[in-house]
Amino acid sequence: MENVSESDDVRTSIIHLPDDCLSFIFQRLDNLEDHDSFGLTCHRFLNIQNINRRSLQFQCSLSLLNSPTLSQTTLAVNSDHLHRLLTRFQWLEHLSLSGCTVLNDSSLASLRYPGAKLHSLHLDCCYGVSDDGISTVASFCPNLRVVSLYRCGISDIGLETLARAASLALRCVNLSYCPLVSDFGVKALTQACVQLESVKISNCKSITGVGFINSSPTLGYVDAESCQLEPKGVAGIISGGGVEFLNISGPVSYIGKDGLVPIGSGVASKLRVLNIRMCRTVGDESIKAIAKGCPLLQEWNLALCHEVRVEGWEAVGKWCCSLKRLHVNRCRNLCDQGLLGIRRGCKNLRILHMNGNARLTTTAIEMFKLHRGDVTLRSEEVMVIGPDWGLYTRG
Amino acid sequence: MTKEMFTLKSSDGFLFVVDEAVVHQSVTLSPMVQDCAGREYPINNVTGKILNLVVEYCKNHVVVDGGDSSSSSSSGDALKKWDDEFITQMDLSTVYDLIMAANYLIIKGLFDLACQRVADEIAACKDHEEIRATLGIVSDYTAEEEAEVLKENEWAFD
Repeated sequence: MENVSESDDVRTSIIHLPDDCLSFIFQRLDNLEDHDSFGLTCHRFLNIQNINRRSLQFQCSLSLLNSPTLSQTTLAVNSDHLHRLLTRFQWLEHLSLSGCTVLNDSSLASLRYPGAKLHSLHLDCCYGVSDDGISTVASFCPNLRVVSLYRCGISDIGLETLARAASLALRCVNLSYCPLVSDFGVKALTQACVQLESVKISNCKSITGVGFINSSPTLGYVDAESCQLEPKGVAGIISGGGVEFLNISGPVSYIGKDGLVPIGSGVASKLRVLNIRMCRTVGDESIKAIAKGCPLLQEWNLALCHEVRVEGWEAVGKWCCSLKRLHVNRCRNLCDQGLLGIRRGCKNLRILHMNGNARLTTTAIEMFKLHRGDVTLRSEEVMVIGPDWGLYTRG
Repeated sequence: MTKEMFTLKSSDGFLFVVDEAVVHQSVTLSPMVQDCAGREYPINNVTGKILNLVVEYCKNHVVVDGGDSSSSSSSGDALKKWDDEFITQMDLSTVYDLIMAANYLIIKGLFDLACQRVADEIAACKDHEEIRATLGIVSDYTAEEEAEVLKENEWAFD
């Protein structure tokens, strides 16, 4: 088209629109194919596409989420790929490098491009990333809110560096299967990050829980499944007073019978979901304390808690008025009288997961069904309850 | 209560007399309600042809006094139908002018409507070559550059 600027006959073309209008139009294209086609028309449109991209991940990240299938065609993302894409998309807020096993510490230098705009970073299964790489993340991305480091080579040192750099922003952290992270690293995290909301440290064998002492009241979600928790550690985890979701399931050797009594001390009064599945040694005193001290409890998983006996079950029935969902699969010492205690109480109960309870008679179960038609009985044993660490929101 | 009337003057000298309810739909023009009743208000970067369409849109979007958006879904549907016909019958060149006018005058509904029309046009194209043809864009890509972008696009997921 000719561009004789003063002539009234010149028809307006899309290229006459300013960039912000082009961005608005671009934002109304709702699929990736259209975004890519838009960017391929000319360099100016490519720039519009690039500055509007907020989230990026790779095919290996998707395969990780869905199911680990051995796909030969999956791209093995290396430093060059990452560099090219991060220089293109400098306004990213969400980046997932999960499954990018070829990446190493120096690859992360490209994070300088999104830099302070990056809010969430996933490095799950980035086996080549260690403390040096985490330091690089810390130096370029001080506004990170969500960080996932499942199976990364991070240690206490890297965690402390990251926590200090992103202390005001960090909200959700996943450190599951990071064996080099201990109570010291957790302490650095909880002391530096005053807005911390959600922490997943499952399967970190070096963690007893004491690193959580004096954590912020904003901490609402803790997943410490299969850690080596001690009673002091459990008390520490809830010490901030804001915990709503707690998972301490798994074989906990050091908890003992009364190890969970601190949960009922009043500090965890906001607790809504509690998973103590497989805490085989936990006894009635702990259960009574929790039932009394956590009036808002809505879901409680006690599967395989063999040491819970009549007194404990009766306490659950008597005190757990908000309980909607209860799991008692394979509890060896749930007997008829215990079930009666539940039946007579827990007036808000809707779902009961129950199977493999050797001491229960069929009669007791039938009586339960008769009197509590409002409760659905399910036999399946559920290991994972509550929201995912990254999806937890307060309230 | 007498209705206040305002006169808008386009860049090419056309005059449009509108009432307060129309003026208020433009965030840019809204403050003039206090000052300019009776005087001509120049809108220097919008031609008469486009300003006419803007005024037509605003007249149709005047909110009935005391009514709220939940008053009836059927009137909401009728308005949407009007919007669709209004924007679809225009050629793209006019739509672009309308986008710039609505952007300047800050009339959100009209701006969104016009941008969506362009987006729909783009989405209907099957690839970037068709987009270039439809929108009249000249490519400044070399063959190598285009191949590189295509390759990078294959790596990137949302």
